Amino acid sequence: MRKPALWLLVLALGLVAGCGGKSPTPSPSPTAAPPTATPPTVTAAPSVTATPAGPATCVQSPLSFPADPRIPAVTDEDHVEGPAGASITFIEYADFQ
Amino acid sequence: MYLEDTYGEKIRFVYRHFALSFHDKSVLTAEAAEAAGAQGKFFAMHDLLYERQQEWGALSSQDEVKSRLVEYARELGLDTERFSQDLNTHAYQERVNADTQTAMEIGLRGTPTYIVNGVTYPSEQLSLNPVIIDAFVHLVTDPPRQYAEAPPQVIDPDKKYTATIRTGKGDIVVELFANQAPTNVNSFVFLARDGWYDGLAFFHVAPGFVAQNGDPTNVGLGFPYPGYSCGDEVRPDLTFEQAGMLALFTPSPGYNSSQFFITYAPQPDFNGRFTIIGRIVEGIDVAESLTQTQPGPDQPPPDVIETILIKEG
Repeated sequence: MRKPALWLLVLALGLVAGCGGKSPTPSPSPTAAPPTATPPTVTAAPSVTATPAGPATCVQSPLSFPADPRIPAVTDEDHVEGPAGASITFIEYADFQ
Repeated sequence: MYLEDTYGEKIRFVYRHFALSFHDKSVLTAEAAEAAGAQGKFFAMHDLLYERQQEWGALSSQDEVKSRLVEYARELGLDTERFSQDLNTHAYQERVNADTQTAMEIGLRGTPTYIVNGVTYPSEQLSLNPVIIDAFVHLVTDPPRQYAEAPPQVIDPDKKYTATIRTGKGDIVVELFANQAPTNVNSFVFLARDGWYDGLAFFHVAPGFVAQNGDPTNVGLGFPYPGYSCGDEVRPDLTFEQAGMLALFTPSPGYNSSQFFITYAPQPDFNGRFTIIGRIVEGIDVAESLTQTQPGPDQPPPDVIETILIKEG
């Protein structure tokens, strides 16, 4: 029987890095081999200061998904399915092959 | 499509050509969709082309493909004469190439590329699984509540805390290990008191194993949803040898945030990997009655957290 696993569909933490991250968080000494994740990066210094004894700290790790201004806006020329006033626009660039 | 089921009238789809030159029938089929579009049937042809991809993809010559496309046009009730002529004169090749040119200019890397409200889907990190695409749409269009800073100190590690996880099936009462895992208990208490967990689903419930919660997209992406993450507090004296532990999920060491799980059985494999922040002291039967489910379509509606009440002292 397949061994059960904690549900983790993807480890997309590299995405955070792609959205303006700067330097990787120093990770505490690992106690186990990490799963296939890319560690997230943080955009700010830790804002909870560790006591000298050195307990775990929390650091900011903002999730942001900036829009790419280079993507052309939807026009009358486009092939569109769904209501014009929809709040979500899902563009697919693809071919059929 | 899965997204349509989820978002209904709130979503619109836009198709643009990115006809890769190394796909030999790519431009021709894109032209066929345009030719159908000229007769008001773009998406009908679009759907048919995807559906019959293997059929026309197996044909060897462009002429064979072309006559097959004309058959499709007939099937869709199009004016086949006009359709054939449009293909023969390459009436829409320029349009297809212009779309492709734009896709290259904006640096798209491959097909398909999805863009949700201007945000490119990171297909290098995320798979094209519809469940994950759905979760991404959720994240972009309805992002979870994030904090500008790591949580303030809200607990006194020398005091006793219990968390009552209220569900439609009853309460699960957890003794929190404020003294052993002060940073992560502090974060959990902070989020719980702020109502951050209210309404979130037990999105993966596997009897005899675990129940997972704390992911606003309800699929278990490994993001630090509240906008911060905390280091591990793994202690040798707190282990998964007993069932009923409450632990934080981290995708790799040191990235705990909102996601947590409770264990239904001893899980010695988890020792040293996940920070235990508490132990169920009451309501294990409630925990065990949570609806078995996992992310994805055709699953029963999951149980949700109504709220988490924190008691001090």
